[in-house]
Amino acid sequence: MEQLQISPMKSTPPKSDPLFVWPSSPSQHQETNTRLDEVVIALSNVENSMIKLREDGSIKGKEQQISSLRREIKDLEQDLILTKIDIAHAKVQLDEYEYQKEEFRRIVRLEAREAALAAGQVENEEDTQHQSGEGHRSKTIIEKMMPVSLLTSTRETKAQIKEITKKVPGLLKKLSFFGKKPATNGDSSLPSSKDKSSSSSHHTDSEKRVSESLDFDGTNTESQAPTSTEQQTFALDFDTNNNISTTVNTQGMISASVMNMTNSLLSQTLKPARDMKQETLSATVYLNYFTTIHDDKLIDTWFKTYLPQIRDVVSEADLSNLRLNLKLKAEIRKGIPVPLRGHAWTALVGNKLRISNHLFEVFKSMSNGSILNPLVEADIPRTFPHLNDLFEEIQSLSTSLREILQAYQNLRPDIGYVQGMSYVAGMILLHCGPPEDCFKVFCNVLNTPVVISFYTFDLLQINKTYKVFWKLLREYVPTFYTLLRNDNVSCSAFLFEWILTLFSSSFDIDVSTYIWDQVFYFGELFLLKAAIGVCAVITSQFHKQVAAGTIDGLKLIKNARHYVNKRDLQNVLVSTYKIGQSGIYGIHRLKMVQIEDLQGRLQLQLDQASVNGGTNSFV
Amino acid sequence: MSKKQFLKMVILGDSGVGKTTLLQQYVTQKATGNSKPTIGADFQKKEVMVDNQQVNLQIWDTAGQEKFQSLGYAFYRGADSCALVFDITNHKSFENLAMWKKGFIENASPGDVNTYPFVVIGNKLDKEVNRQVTSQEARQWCKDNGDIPYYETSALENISVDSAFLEMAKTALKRGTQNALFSLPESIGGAGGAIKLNNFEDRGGAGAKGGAGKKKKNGTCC
Repeated sequence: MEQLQISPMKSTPPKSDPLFVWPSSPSQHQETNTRLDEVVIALSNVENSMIKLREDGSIKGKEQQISSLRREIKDLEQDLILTKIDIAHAKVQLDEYEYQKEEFRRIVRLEAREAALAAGQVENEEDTQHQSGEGHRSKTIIEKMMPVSLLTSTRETKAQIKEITKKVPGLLKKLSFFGKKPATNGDSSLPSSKDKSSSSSHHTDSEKRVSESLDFDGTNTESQAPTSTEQQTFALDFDTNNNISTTVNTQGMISASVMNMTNSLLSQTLKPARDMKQETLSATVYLNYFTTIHDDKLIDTWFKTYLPQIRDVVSEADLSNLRLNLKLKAEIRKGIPVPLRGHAWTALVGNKLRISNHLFEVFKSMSNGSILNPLVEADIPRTFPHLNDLFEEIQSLSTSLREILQAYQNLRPDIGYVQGMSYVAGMILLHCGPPEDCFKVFCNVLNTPVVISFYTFDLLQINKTYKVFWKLLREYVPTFYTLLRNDNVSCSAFLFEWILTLFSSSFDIDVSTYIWDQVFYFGELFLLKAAIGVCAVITSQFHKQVAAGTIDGLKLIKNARHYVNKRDLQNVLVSTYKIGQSGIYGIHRLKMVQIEDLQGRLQLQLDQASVNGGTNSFV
Repeated sequence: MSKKQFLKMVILGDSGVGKTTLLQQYVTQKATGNSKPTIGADFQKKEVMVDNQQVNLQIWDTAGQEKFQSLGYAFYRGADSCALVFDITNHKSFENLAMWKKGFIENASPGDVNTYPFVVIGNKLDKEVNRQVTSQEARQWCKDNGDIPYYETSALENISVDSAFLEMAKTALKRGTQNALFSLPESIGGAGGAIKLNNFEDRGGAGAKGGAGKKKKNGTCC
């Protein structure tokens, strides 16, 4: 009975429902059909017009024009960078000559003084006159005694600089033609340039100066001349870089740091020449690192595809899934593009410690008023000596470094400040945005089992890590292993620093950031793989000597910075992976289990890709 | 003794007193005012002539932060001579000399402590204006600690750097090198050297000095 009562309710035709259009009505049917026809016609019209437009040569031509213009812009930008590097190199060379000249002058002056002293005994009365005459005299002596080669080479370098300088205005003009709005005037785009001399600001001035400097009169102006042109190139560079970086929504920090490095380069003209050589070169490395122009497409795909993938990672399981993503893995192995590095690191490192912005504020304010750790104060300017100006001048950066280190001392009073932390924090600050975000990354990076054991001086764990290093080295780079072992080298002489600072203190920034990419993606055991990779690169460069044992292994490894560049390291790591089943990237599972036995606490972190194999495919 | 001699030296002292700069000045005759903080340890080599004898110096530059002292064992062991460095413009660094000396003796166990060739170096003579430690005070301390030779240097301006190191080499040679056999550290510190770096094989009383001298190649292990 009940069912019967319900069924008619159900079968009520849905006509009453206003949302439901009943299709069976013939009039509506017709209407829909005619509308469809209309749409089809309209569509075909649009298609026709599109075809017409496409056939129309003008658009095609314009497209071509645009792409060719783009290419030209890119070429020009590359040219600029090359020119800038040329200038830097030439400048370094000039400085070297200047230094030699200065040395020479000093010697001559000494000799002149001695001669004067000898003479002075006879002509005591003429003492005052003599002093004024000394300058003249030494100058002529210099010109007489200065080796000809030195003179000519100085001239050559200067001519070189002049030539490069000539190129710059042309490039500037070309670029401004493309609406890149380059700085036409050095000091307009460079706020608060440290260089006090106002004379080195205008371009025309600088050209004059260069030609003047060719006279080689030994005054200060000559060193300023190349500087002012350099100022312009760098200012311009900064500008183009800014354009690029805004398109990918990256932090202003990069451009700020570039700007400051320009300043630091400039201010170095005031320093003694011999300090400058190394510092200028190192600063150039940084400058190149941050100004290299990246492939727009690559950055775009990173921004649209890979970065969201990384950001989706919440749990440990997500991370191991992420490691299975072959496309991403291949990209990581090439290295994350510089402008996106900070974002990617922040996401990859995650925040297991759940450090909040508020926590940072609390810990930061806790140290307000209390005595600052003098060691931290001393180390901040020492962290990147060649970038002193970067950290000193951008007040915010050095303040952030201090804040982070102080806050960490409050977070982990048992660890406190350990020398070496400043490198890690500095590196993060150069990439990862505002200090509160950097603090999160910093704490979480330090909190991984291997790294923290170094910061807590947990000797037992450290020794275990060393043992794994020896084991891996023995397997993958046996010749180097033998070399070090025969010399009785302890790996705490180098590996300690490498792991403590995650390679940031002893390698150039492009190498260390590349290693960081891998470490954050593959897990911290990659630190050991990277160490093996470094040894392999060194071994490949000194193959014969290493095999014969005629070279000082420890010295090689202590100077690893000079032998290892990103490309070689990448090649060693990747190619070995491709060749062998047991490349360093994929230390295979069986061995890792053995290592784990040794390591106890260490987690199994390896590539899923390689489970088999195990031949020494190295070197 | 006419053969090439080999000496290992260690430089100790507070952070920022100028250990790295001293070594840099001595070995390369150059010094930049802004060396990086030393992490772990660094080393340099130099060949010198001492009393008509060619000597190979291997000088270890250690980290100045106290925390790193626990690693010291590896670097102190087998040292033939030890330089204790302080900054004449920083009294605290002078007071800490006793701590560094004690730490060295504990870790390196250098036999007869009283005859061990220490050298005390008061660095940063170029900042005479800011001096906090008088020469007299320093000399007195050296006298009280077994007549340690005392040098005042300027690593930046290369004042007395060579003579300080030469003194170290001379006294070390006089005492005779005990540890010519092994040169480099191979384990890191902790409980009396119980933890050995490369103990793939049992080395018996390796914690004792010279134990590592018998080291064989680790060909058979793992």
